[in-house]
Amino acid sequence: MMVEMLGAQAMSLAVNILRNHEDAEDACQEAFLQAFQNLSQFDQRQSLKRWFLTILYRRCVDQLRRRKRFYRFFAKLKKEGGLSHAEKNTEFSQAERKILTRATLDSLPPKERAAITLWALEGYTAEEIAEILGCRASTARVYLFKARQKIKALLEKQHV
Amino acid sequence: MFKCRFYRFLIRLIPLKIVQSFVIQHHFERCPRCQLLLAQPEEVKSLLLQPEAFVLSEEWLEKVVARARIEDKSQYRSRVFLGRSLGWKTMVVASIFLLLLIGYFVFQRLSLSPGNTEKAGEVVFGLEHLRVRGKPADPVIYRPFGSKLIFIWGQSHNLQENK
Repeated sequence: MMVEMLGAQAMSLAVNILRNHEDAEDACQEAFLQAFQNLSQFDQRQSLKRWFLTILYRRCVDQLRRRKRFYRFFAKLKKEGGLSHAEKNTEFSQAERKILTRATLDSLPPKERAAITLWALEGYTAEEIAEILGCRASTARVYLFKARQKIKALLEKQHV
Repeated sequence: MFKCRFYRFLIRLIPLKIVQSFVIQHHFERCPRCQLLLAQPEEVKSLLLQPEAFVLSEEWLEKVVARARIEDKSQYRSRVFLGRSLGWKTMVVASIFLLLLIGYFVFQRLSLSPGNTEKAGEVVFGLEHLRVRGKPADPVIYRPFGSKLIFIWGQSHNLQENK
């Protein structure tokens, strides 16, 4: 079954892009559903895994958009004083904590995060990454380069 | 060494992805010195959550299957696009197109307004001569703006003289 075959890889990619377990789970579920429902559109000459990862990446982008709206909503509430002091301390800090899990990878833009995850975990080339991200190979190569450069710089900073 | 510095400067100087990609492909991917400035797969892997860390529970698998059963295909399609959802760029292009379309129709309407049809339609009539009581007279032609009525005022020379 596709879920058993690609489930762990899908979750790994989604968590690394979204940096949030619940959002990643949602994105994965949506991606699997969409894959099942559009299986007839799958070109057999293509790689099933890459086709699925393309769908998953798009669902991750959707999740990021939703999260942006969520951020804006909370920022507005905070500004307008819509949340009471107690709520601010509990709900908002929980939401913040959930989203703002800071790590080295968090500082990268999602596209760079996706590119580097596909490169490091799946061993994909810039051309294959471009196919999944829906961009040109040159663009994917630049994402990858920038991500590697930033990570190296951050790692060196941590060591110093 | 100088070459490496030059390429590093070039990649910062020109923000075009095609140029940057060319420089990456032809220098950074081949130069061992520059490779030291980039994170290696092992270093990146240590920062990432790997597939082995995820053991998919039966419950999770059931959840996906259950959702697949519940969600009607048509319902799902209306909610989730197969491709990327509409981005701001698409919205901007659509708005520009809409404005151009509106502009075109407004322009067409204006060009068909009475004032303009008259310009396009040349002279509507001509007056060769005017007589008042059998004698030649001076014509004064007046047409109110936006109206189809034309007033012709005849002024006899004799009447003027009589006054």
